[in-house]
Amino acid sequence: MRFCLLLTGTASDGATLAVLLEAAPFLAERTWSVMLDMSGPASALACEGLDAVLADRLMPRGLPLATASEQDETLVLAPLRGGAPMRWNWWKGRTAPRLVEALRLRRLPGEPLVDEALFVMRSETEAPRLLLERLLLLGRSDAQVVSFVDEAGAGSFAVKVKAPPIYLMMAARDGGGEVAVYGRHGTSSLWVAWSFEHPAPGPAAASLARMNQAALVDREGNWLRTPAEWRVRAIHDAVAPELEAPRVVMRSVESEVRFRVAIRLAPAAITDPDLWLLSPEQLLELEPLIEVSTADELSRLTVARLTGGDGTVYLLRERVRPGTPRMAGRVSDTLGVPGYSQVAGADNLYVPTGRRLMPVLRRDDLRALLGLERAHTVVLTEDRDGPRVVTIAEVDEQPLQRWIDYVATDRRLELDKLLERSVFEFPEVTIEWPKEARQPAPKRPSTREAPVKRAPAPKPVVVEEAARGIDVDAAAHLRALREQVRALEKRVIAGGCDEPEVWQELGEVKAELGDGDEAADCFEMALLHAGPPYDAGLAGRLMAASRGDDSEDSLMEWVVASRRTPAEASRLGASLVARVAAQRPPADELMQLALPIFADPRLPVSRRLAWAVLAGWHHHARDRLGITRAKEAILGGINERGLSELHDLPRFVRHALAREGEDANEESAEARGDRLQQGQLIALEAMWHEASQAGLPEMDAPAAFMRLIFAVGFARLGARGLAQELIAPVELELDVHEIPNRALFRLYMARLAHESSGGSPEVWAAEVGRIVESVRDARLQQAVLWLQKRSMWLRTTNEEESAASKGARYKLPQGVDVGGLAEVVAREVSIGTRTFDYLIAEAVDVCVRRALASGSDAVVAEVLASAEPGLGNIQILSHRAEAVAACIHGAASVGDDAMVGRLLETLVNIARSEKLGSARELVRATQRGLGALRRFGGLEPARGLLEALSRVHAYTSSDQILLSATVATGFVQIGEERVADEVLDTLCAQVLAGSLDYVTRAQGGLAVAQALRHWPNMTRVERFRRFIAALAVFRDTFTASRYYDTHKILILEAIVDSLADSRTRHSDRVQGFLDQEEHALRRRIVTDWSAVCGR
Amino acid sequence: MWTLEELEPEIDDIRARIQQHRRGLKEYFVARDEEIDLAILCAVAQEPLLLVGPPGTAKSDLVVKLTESLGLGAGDYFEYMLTKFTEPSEILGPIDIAVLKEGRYLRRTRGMLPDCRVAFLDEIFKSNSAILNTLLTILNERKFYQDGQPTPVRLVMLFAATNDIPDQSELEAMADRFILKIETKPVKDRHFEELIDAGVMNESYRASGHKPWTRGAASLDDFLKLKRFMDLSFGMGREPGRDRAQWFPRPVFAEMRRIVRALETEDKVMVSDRKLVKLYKVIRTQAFLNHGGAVQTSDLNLLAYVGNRRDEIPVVASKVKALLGLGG
Repeated sequence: MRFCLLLTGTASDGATLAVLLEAAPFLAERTWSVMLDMSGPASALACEGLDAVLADRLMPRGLPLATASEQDETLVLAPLRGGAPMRWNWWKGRTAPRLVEALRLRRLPGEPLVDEALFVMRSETEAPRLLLERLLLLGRSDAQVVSFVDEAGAGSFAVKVKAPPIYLMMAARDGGGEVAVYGRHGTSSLWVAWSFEHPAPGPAAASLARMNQAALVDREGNWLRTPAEWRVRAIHDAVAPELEAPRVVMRSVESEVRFRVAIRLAPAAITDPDLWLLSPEQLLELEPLIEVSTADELSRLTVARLTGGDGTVYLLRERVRPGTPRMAGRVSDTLGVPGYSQVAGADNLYVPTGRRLMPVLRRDDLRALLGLERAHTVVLTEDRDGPRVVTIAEVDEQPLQRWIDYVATDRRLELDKLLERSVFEFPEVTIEWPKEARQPAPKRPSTREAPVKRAPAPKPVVVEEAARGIDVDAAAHLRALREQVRALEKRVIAGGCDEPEVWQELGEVKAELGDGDEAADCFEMALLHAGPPYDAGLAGRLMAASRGDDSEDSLMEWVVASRRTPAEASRLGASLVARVAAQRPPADELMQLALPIFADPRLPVSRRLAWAVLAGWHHHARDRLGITRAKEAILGGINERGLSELHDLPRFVRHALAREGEDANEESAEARGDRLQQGQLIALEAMWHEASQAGLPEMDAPAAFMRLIFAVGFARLGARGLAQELIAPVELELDVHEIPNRALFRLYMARLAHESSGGSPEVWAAEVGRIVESVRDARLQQAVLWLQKRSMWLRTTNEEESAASKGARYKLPQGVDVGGLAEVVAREVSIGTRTFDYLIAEAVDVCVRRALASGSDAVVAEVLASAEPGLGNIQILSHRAEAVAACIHGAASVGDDAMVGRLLETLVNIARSEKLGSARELVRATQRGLGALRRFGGLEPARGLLEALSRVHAYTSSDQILLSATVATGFVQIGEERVADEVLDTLCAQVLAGSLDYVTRAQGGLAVAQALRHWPNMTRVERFRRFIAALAVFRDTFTASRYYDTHKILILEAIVDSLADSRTRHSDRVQGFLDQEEHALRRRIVTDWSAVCGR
Repeated sequence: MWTLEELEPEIDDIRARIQQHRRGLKEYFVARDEEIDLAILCAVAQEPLLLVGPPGTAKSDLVVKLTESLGLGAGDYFEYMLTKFTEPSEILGPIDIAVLKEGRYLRRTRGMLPDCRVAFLDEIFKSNSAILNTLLTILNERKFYQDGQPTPVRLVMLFAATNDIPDQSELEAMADRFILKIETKPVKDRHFEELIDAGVMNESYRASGHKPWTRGAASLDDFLKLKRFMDLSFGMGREPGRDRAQWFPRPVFAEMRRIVRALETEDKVMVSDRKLVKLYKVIRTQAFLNHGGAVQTSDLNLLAYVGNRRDEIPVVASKVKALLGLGG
């Protein structure tokens, strides 16, 4: 009979053991006999030290003690406290050298997670291989392996895995005991059978630590001790990978084999073309473009006449000018031909735009293949038979302007009067062509009418002839008609005229005067404003003026054509409208092909004609869905692209806008100065005299910079001789200047040559690189780069592009259609979104733009309703302003005045806030908001916004100046020039006063120069005169000031650039008219749609 | 309804016919064996199947051909593409105006979802909450509410497709109803030629109005009978654990438990209690369908399709295959 301690295998055992060790601590290191109940978790521990005497002493402490005896293999445990004895029929015994090793492990429920697991198995079995294979399949190459040898020399293999796969532990536990799995938490040296826990892990680990050992405790409590440190290896060290496959060895040898590879043209990204090869007829198609282009723009187009196997061909080329918008798109639109683009890396090789050479060849191979070195230009054309190489040995290119000095279209009134007077006063006048034309002009094709005033012919020479008889009545009639035209034109040029009768009358008169194109524009206007169903007579007049043909054959031919010129598209549209109006609608099949053509916003016809075709048909068919889709297509196109100056502006309106301020008899000096390039030249000359009044000292760097800057301006306006005069002294004294200045002078001279030759941006970048690189000393080179990067003329476009490429970083999630935009924008602006403010602002912008492009007011309204409540979640105010501007754009387009009002108020509050970091985004937002309000007829809100912003005091002076300049520009754009002048005067005074720091002053000066582009020339000169006089105040203390005055140069550049710019002012006036027309067109579309849909 | 005694003599023939049906269907697709196996299994087990994948991966084609091959009668098949603007009446049938005048709110379900036997709902997660709630009731309880009264539906097979499973909590309940979800991937990279050839043949069939797959070896009745047989056999023992003891060997069952546990603890895949029970039955059904007997370890490959979220599906599939030693 032995005395023993009864343990239940539950949490209460902990208290039992604590009491035992407190009462008899010497028992901890004694040898114990352990008896395990195999049918339950209980165990009994006996020890020699635990005798009757000790048992008597321990009993009062409440310990569960019993006597143990064996009866026929049954263990009988009689509790010393009394009670029925326990009988363990199935039990096991073992001994343990100390108490912690005698304790039985406790089973844990479920599959507990452990920090690390140790899988132990015999080395000679299959188990290690299977385990390693499975671990590698699970991607657990971080496992480590350990090998053990026991005292008998038997080998064990163990795999140690952190965050072990629970599947493998369960498999080991559930298996037949082939693999034992142990787990541990942290870095404990006590490894316990997985799914079990030791009742006293702390003392057990401490015991191991004292002996510098680790132990593996199996589920019955047996301890296997090992040294604390194990020799571990990576799992891959224990794996010998096998691959049963035949092996072949190959070695490389030299080879001269060459293969024939056909070079072909493959699709590429669409880029702006650089040149066009035109037939004589195609060259004449340029007329509409020539009429609306400024002299500055035309000077960038050159023409060369070529002859060869294909007869006469004209080479039209655009001289690209850095920083100036390309004309290529307009040229291609006008001609209806795509043109050719330069191949990167080959200066004189051109391929059709949107195509590229495939495969890409080395430059030398390309040269040899196409003979690039022997030719001036090589153009790879393409037709149905494949590519053709057109080699142009040499060309004599002349500016297009030289071909078109035959008539002054913007002096049409004088021409008209001349013609009228000629009937009465100079009946003997006739026209004689000079014997030798400077350049033979192509012949007009016989199929087109040839109005005298647009004929591309050399200057006529007026000579007197003998008097002839005249038809006085006809002349009087002609004069009366012209008077009538002038009166009617005056009425419609104000913009927004929506009286069909006026337009029809104007159209009839113009048709009688033989001006078919303008008559067609007027009839289109009349039809549009009358609304469907269209008057058959009027539609017939439109078709006649457009030279249309409503036969089935012609319609089908135009509809199925793969490409249509603008004239053909107009004819098709007019003919369709006429057929429908005359109750002879074309076949449904034909209309199914035609409708998508006119729904395409890229079709080069006026939007009013496109709408007339669609509305006329759907009204006839009573197709509500159709007209709804048409409305969305046309409005979406307008939202996305706006109206086109080329297609939506009647030609005589363009002329009138170019003659701003002109009256029948007198022309203001201001308008005259603004209209002609000479005016700009006069202004620039005046400014030059102002600047050089006090004399320009020689060998003086600032004087040289001034000469160079003005020279570039003169060159840009075509006065190259004067430009050369200006720079001659600089060229002579070049060597006496400091090295950085020398390089900068060269850069300006290169710029001058570049302006004249019209090289590409790449050529300019290379030129700049070459000159900058010529300065070897890094410090001096830095001084050159300092100005080169800040100057608007010297910087390269790559720098501008890299700045521009920072935009549009937000991408809509894939697969989002317009119906999902509201959801996207709501998610982006919600509070919980974890993204940057600039991305949220861009998300709002992108969603609004996409919604606008859908043309559906409902979609736009839904997106705005989702976006507006969350705008306040954009913390950075400048980004919030951008999002607000996007919403103003949307709200103005759907006519939600209440929302526009709220958003404008938000914008003003942002401007007033002290937390506004930078005004740059606010200015951008204001400009966008104003543009949208103007387009959608919101002049009053626009005025309100400007007035509110003019009262805002920005946080910093530079922001204030930027904001004021924007406000002034805004006022001048909405026609409030008086207010704009006041704001600008204040601004000029502020900039020139001494209260600003020099950086802010320079920024202010640049902002004013930028804003003044929107003013008439003479006003610009007046303001700039003050700047030139006070140029000395634009000083700076930059390191480079030892060589030059950065700010003075930049201000001077801005002034000259502004004076040489006529585009901005012209486009302001055109845009003003287009805004009014767009507003009227929108109203008409909605009215027509409502008439069909009953809403 | 069929009794066990009626079904037992012909059940092996039914199994063989369905197997042949499956093989026949595979001839019209390229590398879609996995999807077809699952679709057939779900059709037998009458569990809904969700096909997840980008457009153009034969999701609709697969379901349409399968349903056509079953020789369904008029009005037995219902197919609809859901959008957020789809109204319940487009799925459940319009309100009966004549009855509404009497103050009762009944739908005319003829030819609509409640009246059909097989349904295919495309873009299921794009539908609005009104439809989703109705679908939940239909999937759970095989009934829907007419004028406040539960009315049984005839639907036995539901297939659904989606480009994506939106990560929105309100859609979790619906996603959980689909015990099995499979990702359909483009196969053109691996089967370029076969895809072109099969595509051309299919276009030719379509142009000629010829549908050879409609000559399926099995009929809808075969599928219903096998389902009935399985239902009866699940309850044969009339004591808990009997079916498992007889048809699910302990090692295989332990393996299933291990995999489910691993997916839950390591990949946080939610396997609800309801889903676990249904999984058991589907695995059993697959085992019976494929080899007519007890479940084998290879049948546990169905666990590869229990992923719930879009990003989970490929991870779970790969993990289960690795655990089963089938390669990652």
